Amino acid sequence: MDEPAQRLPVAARGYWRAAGTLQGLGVLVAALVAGGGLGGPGWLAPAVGAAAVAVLGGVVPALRWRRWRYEVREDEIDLLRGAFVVRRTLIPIRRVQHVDTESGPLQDSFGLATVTFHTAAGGVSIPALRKGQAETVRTRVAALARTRDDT
Amino acid sequence: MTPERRRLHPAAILAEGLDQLRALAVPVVVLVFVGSGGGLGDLLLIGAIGTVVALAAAVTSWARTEWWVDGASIRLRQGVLTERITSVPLERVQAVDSVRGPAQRLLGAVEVHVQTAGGGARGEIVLKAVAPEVAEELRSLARGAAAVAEPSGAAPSWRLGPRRLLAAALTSGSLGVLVPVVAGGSQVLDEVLSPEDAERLLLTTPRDWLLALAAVLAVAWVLSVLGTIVAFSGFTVTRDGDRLRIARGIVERREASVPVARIGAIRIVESPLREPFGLAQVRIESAGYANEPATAQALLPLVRRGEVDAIVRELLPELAGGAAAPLAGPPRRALGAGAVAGPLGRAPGTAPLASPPRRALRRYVLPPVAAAALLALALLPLLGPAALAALALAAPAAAFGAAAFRTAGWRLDGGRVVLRRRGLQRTTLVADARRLPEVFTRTSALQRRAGLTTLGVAVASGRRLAVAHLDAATAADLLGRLTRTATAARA
Repeated sequence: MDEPAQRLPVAARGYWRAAGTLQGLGVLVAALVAGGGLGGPGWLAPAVGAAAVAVLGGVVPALRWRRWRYEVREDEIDLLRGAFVVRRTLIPIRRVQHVDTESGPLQDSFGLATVTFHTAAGGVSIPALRKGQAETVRTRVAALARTRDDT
Repeated sequence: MTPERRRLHPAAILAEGLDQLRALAVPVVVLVFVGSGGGLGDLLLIGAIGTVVALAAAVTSWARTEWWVDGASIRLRQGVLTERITSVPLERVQAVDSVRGPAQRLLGAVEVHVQTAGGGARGEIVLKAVAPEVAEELRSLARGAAAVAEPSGAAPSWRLGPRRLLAAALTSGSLGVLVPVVAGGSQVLDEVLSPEDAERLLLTTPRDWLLALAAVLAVAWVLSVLGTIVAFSGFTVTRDGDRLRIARGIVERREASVPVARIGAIRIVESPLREPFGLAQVRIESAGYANEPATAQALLPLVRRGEVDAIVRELLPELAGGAAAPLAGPPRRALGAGAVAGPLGRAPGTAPLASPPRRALRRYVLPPVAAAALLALALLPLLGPAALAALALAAPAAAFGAAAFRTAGWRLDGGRVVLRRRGLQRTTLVADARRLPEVFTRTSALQRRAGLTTLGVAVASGRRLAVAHLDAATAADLLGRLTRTATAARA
């Protein structure tokens, strides 16, 4: 079975960078607080924080975006992702119970939304599509799921 | 026409009252122990007040509870101060389970749990007590127009005999029961003991620790033996048309009715205490039962693994044929010379499972060995050179890894997929490949370099099972075949 071909929009990388940078800053603050309490060399805490910002805000989003592929076919949803561990997930569309789109405040400012496909076993998401795309995918999968539902 | 609104059976008052009292019992006991002057008189007084309060609450809640069936759904109205109406469409009902607690049994009633796919452990609607006929009525309503024939006398059935029950109890030892015991115990100690008392109880020598550990384990084992006997006494499973009826329990008699169409898979679990004796438990993986305790998922609480296939063929032919082969051992050639293989009990005429490639062996063996080495390293500052003794763990760790390699395997034929792996216990999943909600592969950077991939499936109960380190090309091919099977139009 061919691998999925569709990429996420470039804005997804920007959004992950922003979110990752915020997380990295959180680590920086925690490191500074912990460093102040525990002692140790003075450069250690800022260094840990800077590394966290660089990794979470720079390296991981780039790797993640470069790997992400998806495809919604007539019969299945095909996802390929993972910066270090590559995961491929196939969901038969007739097993999709319902589809959600959702957009957090930060995501919203990038004009992105997450589409989640719910199945009896939980579900999977495409994390950052442009809102119009997300809408299209949701409508399409919901329609396909109805026509293919035979249980 | 407004449908007739019905009250619960009066046994609901007794059952509810007992529940309330049970909820009050622990705080009351603690109160009496902690309250310094708590004599017998006080205890009786508190007990009497508690009983009156519980009964009053139970009567009020009974008086305010009504249920009815209108055209398409079952509705339950309850709540003393705020009114709550729960409504379950009949077509969404997965099963109508009945439970008989002591109160219900005493007064000839049953408690009914109406289960839906998304429901929690106890079901969407719980009718605390109704007449037994009502449970049957609800069942036939839920079954709708497509009512099937009542079970004939020759319905396939399987019973857990007393010797099997005992064996199941003795080998049940699950560490899960430890959690409430330890949590509850420490809470009681906190409540009852002053800090000075606690100080004196503190374990100081390694011998104290070992004794305490042994005591906790012994208590946990006894509890799990008793728990298994209570849960599985009189276990009977019967195939009734398009349903499995499972009855079990002595203190509470539970009867569950599981639609076969909802059973996406069975799981054969051989725990460390059972595997050496060739014993296994078979569990149902069914939508709507995901949050139930393990005992509620048992199809066969304890069987010889050689019997699994024959029994499943009788009760659940939809998922038979997978069991015999996966219970056989792996091909011997998969092992290095001198390795010890377990007894091979392959049933004749069943295809064996495909194993991961030989080159995957070291990937199964290295992680546990590395974990043992890391443990030794971590203990080094604490124990000094004595910690190196932990390196001796490397041998059993390697044996465990080799066993996990021998266990791992898969097969796909006739719309049925079989996956087997070993964690602490050996687990075989036999699933209907046409109804899988998810198929996946997972490849780490290390696996990619070695051309290996982990492949797994999810079934409708939410259970996932993956087999590690398959050949990457084989896994990709299997992923495609599984997806095609799962998406193919139903004949």
